[in-house]
Amino acid sequence: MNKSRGFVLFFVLLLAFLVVGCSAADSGKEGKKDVDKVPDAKDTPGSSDSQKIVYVLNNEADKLDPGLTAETYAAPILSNAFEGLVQMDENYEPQEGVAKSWDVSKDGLVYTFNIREDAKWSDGTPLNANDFLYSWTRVMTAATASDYSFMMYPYIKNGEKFYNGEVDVDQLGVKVVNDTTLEVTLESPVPYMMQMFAFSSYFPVQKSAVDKDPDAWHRNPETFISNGPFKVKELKFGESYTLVKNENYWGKDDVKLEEIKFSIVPELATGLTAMESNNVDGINGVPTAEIARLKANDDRFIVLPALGTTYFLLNNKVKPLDDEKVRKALALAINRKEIVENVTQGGQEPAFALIPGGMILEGQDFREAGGTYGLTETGDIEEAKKLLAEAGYPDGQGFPKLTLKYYSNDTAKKVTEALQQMWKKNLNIDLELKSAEWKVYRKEVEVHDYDIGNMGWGGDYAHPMTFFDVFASNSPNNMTNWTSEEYDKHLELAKRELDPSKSIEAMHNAEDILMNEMRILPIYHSTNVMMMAEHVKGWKRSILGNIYFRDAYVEGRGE
Amino acid sequence: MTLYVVKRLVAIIITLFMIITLTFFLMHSIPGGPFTGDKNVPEAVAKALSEKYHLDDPLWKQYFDYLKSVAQFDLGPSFKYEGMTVNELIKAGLPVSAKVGLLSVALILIVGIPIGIFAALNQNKWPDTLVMLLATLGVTIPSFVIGTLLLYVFSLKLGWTPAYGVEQWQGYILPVLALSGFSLSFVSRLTRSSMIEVFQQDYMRTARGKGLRPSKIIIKHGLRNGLIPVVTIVGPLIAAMLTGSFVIEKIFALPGIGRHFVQSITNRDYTTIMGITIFYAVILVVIVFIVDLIYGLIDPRIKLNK
Repeated sequence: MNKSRGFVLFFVLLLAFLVVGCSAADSGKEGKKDVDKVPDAKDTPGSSDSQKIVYVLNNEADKLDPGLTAETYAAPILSNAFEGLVQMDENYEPQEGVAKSWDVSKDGLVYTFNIREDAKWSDGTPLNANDFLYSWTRVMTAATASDYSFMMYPYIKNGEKFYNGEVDVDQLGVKVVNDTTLEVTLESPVPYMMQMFAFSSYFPVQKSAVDKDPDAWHRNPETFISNGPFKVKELKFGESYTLVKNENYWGKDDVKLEEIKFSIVPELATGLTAMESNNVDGINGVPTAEIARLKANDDRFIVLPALGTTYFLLNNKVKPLDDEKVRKALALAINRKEIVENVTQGGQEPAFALIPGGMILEGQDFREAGGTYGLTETGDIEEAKKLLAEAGYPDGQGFPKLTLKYYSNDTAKKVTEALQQMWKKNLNIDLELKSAEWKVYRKEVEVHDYDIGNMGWGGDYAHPMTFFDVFASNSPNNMTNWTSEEYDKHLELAKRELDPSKSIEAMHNAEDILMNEMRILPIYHSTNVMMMAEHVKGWKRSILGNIYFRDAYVEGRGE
Repeated sequence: MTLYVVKRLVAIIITLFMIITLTFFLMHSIPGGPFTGDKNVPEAVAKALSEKYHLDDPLWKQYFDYLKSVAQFDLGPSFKYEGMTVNELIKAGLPVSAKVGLLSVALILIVGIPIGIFAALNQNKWPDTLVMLLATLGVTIPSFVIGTLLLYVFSLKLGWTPAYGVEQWQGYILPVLALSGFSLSFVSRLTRSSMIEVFQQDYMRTARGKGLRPSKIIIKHGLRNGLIPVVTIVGPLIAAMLTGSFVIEKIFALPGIGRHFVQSITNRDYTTIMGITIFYAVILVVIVFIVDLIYGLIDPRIKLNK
């Protein structure tokens, strides 16, 4: 082989890249032909009355199987494609869903649902009580490996035994009386059970669809049969999910949107660029750094309260954190207002206790009734200093160098650093900062390899119990190195008690123990920050973060 | 030649085996598993999940089971994305990553080489200075900065390109520009310096002395030798363009493989980490192998058999 042939070979190669490159680009274009019928993000702002929207999500969900997933990333699709026996309104009152009415027995144990006769799947086949029996037993079967099975089996009579394979399905507290009547018996009364019936793990899935491909039915629009206001038209992994109106939905007259395209854009800043270029109608989140600018200049920017609390865990067995005075001093020396206004900047509320606001029980917001446990927005430094001195550390002298841990996340880092500075400045104590990647951090905290650590909890349902359960003695999520029989007793009573006011009182008693002894350091209650074009109306986003487009419509686009 | 090829193939298989083994055990040594979520699940649920994905088997068994399935080109199910196999994941992402990567390679070579020659011909004059200044900028600015800048100008301010995705062909423009920035600058600098060196060779002076046309001197005598260093880097370049788009894929929301790679580590999606590592490793070793073969063909001074 001589030089010139080698030279020719090189250019042939180069040419080959060009051709491959170009034809690849072309085939990309060809491949999109059929997709072109789906209006592009680019086109939407043009067509003024088109009932089609594009909404940006930031994460690919692990799966779109409502019975199996525990991820909030799946919620926007599931909440719009499926519907449970009931749906919750803004005030978390149950409204009719697949069931048009229901009865609850006096002892709070038996729920009887009357399923509507015209209930249908998106493929037009009828949906009846048997579908719920199938879907729920599927969730409660260990072999299904549902991530959220524990949102169901502890509540349903014999659910746990069924999960462990100790009883048969006929002993399970779910009975099909006839096609339109479903009777559910609980293990013990659950004050928020109606919410659970509206929860995604309780959504029905179609047996014949699941049987076609048990692991992947939800990855293929052909087998993705649902029963909600919308149905799946297209699923492009890592790229987008497209839902269209479900003509077989019982409430189809209320549904005005023809199509919702959920685009997946992992980078928040890119999503914001798309929003600001009017490529899309809404985005599910915005970068923290842009919040101040958007709040000032953009009417499409929205801050919504969310059901979450960020707190710092205290290792209650480590000296001197085992001293209540020290824990209180730490809690009082925090300026929470400064943290939410200058650090997190997302409209968060300073937190004075575990339970966030927004949960109305018996007509009263649980948080408002619960009080602030002596904490204020700006803190009380004098009192903090006094308590620390009483504990034997006047002006921070002799206070051991504890570790202050956080997980690698921008906000967590900034908040933790702010706390370190506040404690140094206000109490003259030095803490050593340490961070680790989330899963590593999580494992360390679990084995109590920390002194003070950044943590938080997002509610699974809108009832204080979703937070209280975290700190129960037997909870796998209680990492405080502290347990209290009394706290557990109040929780048991709150769950068992049929009189709502007594149940609420028991929960306040539980929170009193946790907060009066300052077993954790509450910092702020979360928010969801998002953007939605003004021409998209009628949508709802619950405090759990789920977005509902059932009643949404487009009006005045391009005005 | 045949002996050389056989030797290299054996070496490739050994290399891949070592990569698989190291990655497998390193990966399992990181704390936290695929089902360590934001919240802890009850023990019974954790047990059910482990059983489903055979994570309760001893590690050595998991390792041999994995080797067995990899030998059959089956990279297993993703632990994170239920109902997706790693093969499917790669198959879904490859067309996008490959398109962006190959378009970038084409852009780099077609634009980078002529720019380098142009600069070499104008050595130390202002066009050379200008081109090299730009090239230096291109090498120093990281691709995510270029990407963000491009997005700001062309999507937000001018509205010429979509802000994300590749549902329209215009979506490829910005990612390709952002991805090729560094290598384009590098190739043009390399071509320039190599051409300048070649221009000073005796045979070039001879060619000029013979009274050949300048274009013929440059193309026939100059390029043929001047491009040998460039050919050397084409292999690693292709590999880098195909595999190096993690950041670009995230910024422009491209549904490619790179995005899954980084995400899979955060997720402890064991099979996906392994699958994509193996896939990238195969691409790398195979391309390096091919380039070595071509190199031997182009440059007769290199004898592969020795």
